[in-house]
Amino acid sequence: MIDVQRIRQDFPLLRDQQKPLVYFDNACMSMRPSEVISAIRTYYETMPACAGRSNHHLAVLVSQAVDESRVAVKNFVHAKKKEEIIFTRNTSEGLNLLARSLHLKHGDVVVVSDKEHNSNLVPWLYLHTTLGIEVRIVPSTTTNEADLSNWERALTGNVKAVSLVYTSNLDGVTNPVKEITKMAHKIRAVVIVDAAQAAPHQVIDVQDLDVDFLVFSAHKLCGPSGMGVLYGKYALLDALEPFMVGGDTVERTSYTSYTLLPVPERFEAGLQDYAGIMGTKAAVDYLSRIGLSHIHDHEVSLNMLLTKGLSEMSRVHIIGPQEAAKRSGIASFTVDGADHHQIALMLDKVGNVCVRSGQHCVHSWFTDRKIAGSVRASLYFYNTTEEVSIFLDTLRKVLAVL
Amino acid sequence: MFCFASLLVLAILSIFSARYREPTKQALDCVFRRVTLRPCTTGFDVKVKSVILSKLMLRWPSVARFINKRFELLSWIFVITFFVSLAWSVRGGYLFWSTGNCNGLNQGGFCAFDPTGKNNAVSGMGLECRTGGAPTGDLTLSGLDLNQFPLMEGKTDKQLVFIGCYACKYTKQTYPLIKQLIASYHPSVRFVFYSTHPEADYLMAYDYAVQTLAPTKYFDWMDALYLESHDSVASESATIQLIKDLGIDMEAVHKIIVDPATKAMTQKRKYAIDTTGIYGTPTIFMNGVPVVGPKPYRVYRQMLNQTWF
Repeated sequence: MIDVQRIRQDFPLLRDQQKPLVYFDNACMSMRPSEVISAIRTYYETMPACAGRSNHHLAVLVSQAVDESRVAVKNFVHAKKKEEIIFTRNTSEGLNLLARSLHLKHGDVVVVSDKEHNSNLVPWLYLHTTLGIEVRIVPSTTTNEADLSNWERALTGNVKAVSLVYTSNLDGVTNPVKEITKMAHKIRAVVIVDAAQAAPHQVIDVQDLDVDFLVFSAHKLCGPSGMGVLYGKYALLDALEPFMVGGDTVERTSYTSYTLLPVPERFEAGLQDYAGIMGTKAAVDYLSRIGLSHIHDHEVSLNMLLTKGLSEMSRVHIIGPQEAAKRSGIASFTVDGADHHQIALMLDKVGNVCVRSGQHCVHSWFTDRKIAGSVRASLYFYNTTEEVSIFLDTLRKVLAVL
Repeated sequence: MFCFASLLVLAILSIFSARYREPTKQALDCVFRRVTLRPCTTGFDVKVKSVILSKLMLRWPSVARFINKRFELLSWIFVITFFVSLAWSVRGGYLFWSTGNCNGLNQGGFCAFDPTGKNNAVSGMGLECRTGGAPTGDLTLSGLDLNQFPLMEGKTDKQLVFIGCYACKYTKQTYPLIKQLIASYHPSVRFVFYSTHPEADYLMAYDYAVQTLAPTKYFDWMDALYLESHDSVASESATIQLIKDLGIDMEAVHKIIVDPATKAMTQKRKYAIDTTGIYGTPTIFMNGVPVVGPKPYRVYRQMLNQTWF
């Protein structure tokens, strides 16, 4: 069980709020606990130096801190070794790195689900346009869940990669990544997992899943903005050409040649966001201390309450399965006769309730179904049942007007 | 539709505050898209509507519901009202510029550019000074024999008839402007003295006497009285001194004043002036068009030269 009230004391915005704030936009960005903010500040205040270059004592401290962060993230996703962890700016950068480094060519097939975030769709569509690869879309069931038979049918032919979302930011549905990975490996396709929405809310075990690559961002798991992680099996990473080269990616250079550093440094070009890396360690440590299974359970219990309330509103239609347990901490919904942006704006104005409205960067799904957009409430471990009640009460009032 | 009306309001507000500049850009983009028959993509309408409804729904949910359901219609009404109001304001501004009053020449009613109504202020007939206009449609010179009043010959065919009272502060205020007009545009001007203040009634006879005895000095007499303070004008001894200073035979003046025929003449003049329908001083007929109250110089100039409308 989570002691939410105690946890809320760790978050300055929740602890010091004047007017009760209901923050239900966690699928976009989570809040940061004091210890993450403190870790970032520690870098700037006590060791504002380079890692992996200089030999003075501050540089050594930073190098140690980066290494410790890599180990912490390795443990967070249960990777085999720390070298399998590459720090990026965000999920999009991780996915672009892979899309550009896999050496895909004309006629190769990349398989994606029909609910991919633009981060995991546009890089492949770009290669479709520039190289002529085929992007194969796997349709979900009518309740927006993965249909394994569709995946089986899609995984034929010249499939080189499967790139799919772990937990959808659209509706919170978690895909059976382990099963799909097995299918993909049978045809020797690499599996890339967009875990941006999964990593903050559930235990990630890359070895158990047996995925080849997994990417996520820190800002959704209480970490700093502008920090992301790319996990890859060491052998696969070692075989990849780097996405960017330059400072701190090479062992030596002459005027005519260069020798790349080993993984992971060869993928971390230029000066890194050391404060962000330290903040990421603080974030994963913080989440691990609370326990991701506890976090998941808490979110689901809140979502059940939320879903029950939404289901009682006749004009509201939840996207995805009706069972809250299948949607993690996300409830995305449309309302008959009301504009989603207007609902979100009024929830904010009337009840200080922050939710997301629009197409949530999954434009392709909405375009295909000719739906203008939805309202998305996304929960996290610091949210409370009282906040769910405030959200539902405010929504009722707003819908009484709209 | 709401963005049309919002654009102008926000544009004006954004001159004074940076916080309105982003909404102004959004409104502009929205307007541009609407006039090019495309949907508004900035969400400007939705944002404004949300702010309005959010404020209303906490106090008057039924009003919020009503506005939500009829937002587009209300926006149209607002926009039309806005543009009508804008057109009306432009008209008011033009009228103020050309006639000195937002509502038109000699019109009453509130004028934002002349909130105190000073451009319409007159000394009423037999009353104290007052402000505000009155109907002027019946003002006419047709029943008045102008030849009985002093004429300042001009060099053009432009005609002015200046009806004023020496004791009226609005006439005193206007008189220098008329002199400036005479110097610049050389109209022929008839000067008619009409007492609108009881303390100046005695001057009717003196005025008649000066006009009769010393027509060449009449304009000096008039200048002096219009430039004198109200108290001096009201003082008969000060007037006698003025006559003496002008070198006019005071004994002859006295004879005329005490002559019963003079009283009859001045009464006759007064009745004749009353037939014009004027209700206060100053009233100036400029090429036959009555202009009541002290107007800005530009109005007199335009009226004389008939450059307005």
